[in-house]
Amino acid sequence: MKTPGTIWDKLQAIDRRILYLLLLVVIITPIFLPIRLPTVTMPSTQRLYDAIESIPRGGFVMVSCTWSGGTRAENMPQTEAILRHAMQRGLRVAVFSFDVQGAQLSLQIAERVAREVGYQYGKDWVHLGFHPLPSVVMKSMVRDIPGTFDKDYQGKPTKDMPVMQGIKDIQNVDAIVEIAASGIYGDWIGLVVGANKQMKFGFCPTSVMVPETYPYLASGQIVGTMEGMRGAAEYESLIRKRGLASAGMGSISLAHLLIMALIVIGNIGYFVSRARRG
Amino acid sequence: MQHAFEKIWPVLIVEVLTAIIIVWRILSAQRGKELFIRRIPGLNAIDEAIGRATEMGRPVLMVPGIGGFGVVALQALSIFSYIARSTAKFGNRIIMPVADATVYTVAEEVIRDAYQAEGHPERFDPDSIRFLSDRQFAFASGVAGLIQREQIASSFMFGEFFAESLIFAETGNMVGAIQVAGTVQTTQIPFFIAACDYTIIGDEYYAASAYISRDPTMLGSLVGQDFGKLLITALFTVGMISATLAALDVPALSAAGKWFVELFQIR
Amino acid sequence: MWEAIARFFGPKPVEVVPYYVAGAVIFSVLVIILLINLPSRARKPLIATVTFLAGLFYATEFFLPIDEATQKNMLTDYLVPARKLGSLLAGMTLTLGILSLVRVHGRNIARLRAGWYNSVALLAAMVAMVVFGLMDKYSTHEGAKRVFNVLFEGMLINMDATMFSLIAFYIVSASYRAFRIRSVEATILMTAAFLVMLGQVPVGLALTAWIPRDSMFDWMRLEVVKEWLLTVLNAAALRAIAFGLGVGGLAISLRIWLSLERGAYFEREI
Repeated sequence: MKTPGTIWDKLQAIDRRILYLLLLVVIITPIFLPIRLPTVTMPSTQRLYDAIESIPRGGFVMVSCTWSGGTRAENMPQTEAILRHAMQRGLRVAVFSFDVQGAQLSLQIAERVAREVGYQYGKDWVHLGFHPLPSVVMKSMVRDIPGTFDKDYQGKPTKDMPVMQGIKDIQNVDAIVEIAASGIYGDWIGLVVGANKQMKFGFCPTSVMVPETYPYLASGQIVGTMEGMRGAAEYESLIRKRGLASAGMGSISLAHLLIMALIVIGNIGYFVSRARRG
Repeated sequence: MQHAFEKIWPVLIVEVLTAIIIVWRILSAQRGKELFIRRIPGLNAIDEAIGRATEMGRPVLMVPGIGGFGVVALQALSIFSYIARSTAKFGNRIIMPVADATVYTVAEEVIRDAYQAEGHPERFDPDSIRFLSDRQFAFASGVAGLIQREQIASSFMFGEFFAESLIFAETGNMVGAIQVAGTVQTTQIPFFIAACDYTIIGDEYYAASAYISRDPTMLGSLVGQDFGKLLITALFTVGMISATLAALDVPALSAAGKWFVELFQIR
Repeated sequence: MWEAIARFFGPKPVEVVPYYVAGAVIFSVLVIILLINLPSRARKPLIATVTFLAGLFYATEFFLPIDEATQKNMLTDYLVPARKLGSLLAGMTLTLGILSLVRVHGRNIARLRAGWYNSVALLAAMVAMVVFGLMDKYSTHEGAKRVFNVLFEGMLINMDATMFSLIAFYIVSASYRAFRIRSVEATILMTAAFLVMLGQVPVGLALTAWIPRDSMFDWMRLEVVKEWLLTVLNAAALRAIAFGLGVGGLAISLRIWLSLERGAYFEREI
């Protein structure tokens, strides 16, 4: 990198350590000095909420948590929000994961939310544990859910659990919500979604993955999404239970503003130094 | 891996038709038909990047992404094979960290063969191909560490990249490496564009080996691909017209339009 | 015949399992010896045939009509064994991967190269994770379970999260450096980026929150502008790229499946 000369050159080449320090400050400050910001709900979040709302009481929802500790900041509030909504609505909930860490982490969240809502394990909800080979599981669950998920996370048989009563195949599932850090929605759409036209498929990706879901949202193959932490914050406001995501919105907002300010500063430096050089 | 839908036949017809076109173009190219391929700046930059590493006497880094063994990884290895032939010629040191064990075993073979083909098998160092970890962020930290410690001169990133793409690209930028990247993961392309010198976008990724090698099979396949895209574009156009007709108040036209739209409608 | 094959590969009583394992080992060794000693002229058509048959299996399973009641066709039941075979092969290559790791770092330690202590830390961490991971699963030792918990939940998960969070820092430096209005295209790109960024966060959304919804100026609300940019312009480009990639993937798959590739991956005559 060339050595900056004038102040305008310097504005174009701020040391990255200063940039990182500024980011650290804007992320940490709102954690200690919370900023309450109004939430505007995106149509995609609203659609996911409406889809869960439209399921009659006692309906069966499957929540897949294919994420690990790395993306906990985004995927954890999403998981909590969707589980809380489903449980508040009195739906039967089955949680499982295609990721070892995701199985453990989703169990902790589900246990906590179930305790708060007063849900009973085995009767109202179940955790079906970790399952490797997603496409094999998906293919198999289309025609046989009790066979695919014959045991819960502790190895107990699921066939006698009240929560699983009447669930034979994909035709008995009202909704599947995938909370993921990867593009696993493609497998769901390819293998499962088309097999039950009434079933709703919701997808909760990390923010960076959001753009690639838009074609499927437009086609209706994904009914709605929760876009990263911001989507989770919107969902929290829809279910009227502010949690981790809402608390993080101050940091996210300020970080965005910082990036915009830095881009503007860099461009001012660029324009002025270019004008001076003629 | 699905056959859950009832409407598989239209897909089969389109897919088989595309496949026939591709194979036909490959076979005709193998028979010696001359084919034109446009300039792709990112791929021209490969030689420049290797040249720079030679001048600086610092290593060349090649990352085949974190995806498993499949067409994307094979394509990446095909590009790396070309790069390895150049580094074998000029005697550059290479480092190739790998996240998938299957890709690792094949990569070792491919790079060794490239050195052999250039007549310098003694220059191949088996330790230059390293399996680091199959965990995304463990691999990311391993690669970032290698970039910093080895002060690499050039970095080539081809394959399936996810959230770790920016970690590699920015760390490479920090050490002043010249960077060329290409991925099939559309969400990662903006990160590569922001932090790399050259980025290969979309299906240019699959054109890379044809462009580099000028092998008739690959050139033919590339032209076949473009015919396939034309076929899909034609289907889009007919689809749009059909959807418009379906909305018209003319029963015959509307029925024809609906028939076509429903032929490809999944939900 | 199919049933006989299915029976042969199906679950077996515990007492006969060692015989099956021994048989499998002997069979595999024989196959490997045969493959190594095969003349290269015969090896090439063999690889082409195996590749073709494997590809044909998946393609046929995909397109063959299915029975409505069982949602299967005659090949569906063999998907799982085929996948298990793939997992087995992947498992074997993992051993080679770990050997590579041990070889590289073992040499660092043996020759006391610069930073050799990092290699010690890496190998120690790997061994500790394997040992305590196995103890957590197969032993009842409480101390071992606690140690594994510290390693897994206390360290691994948090280190993963730390690496992921680095991306936020890198986004700041990359976007600060990359977004310069050097041309008309760059200006359009940056304007779009600004609108999307503002539309992503409550602070930005608050700027246009005063415009009444369902009014004629509704389209000026930032979330509407952002949604339009992402779902219309961006999604259209993404679709185009996705189709290009799909066809490209099909082309390369065909070349491999039909062995049309001439020395692209393995320059040596095989």
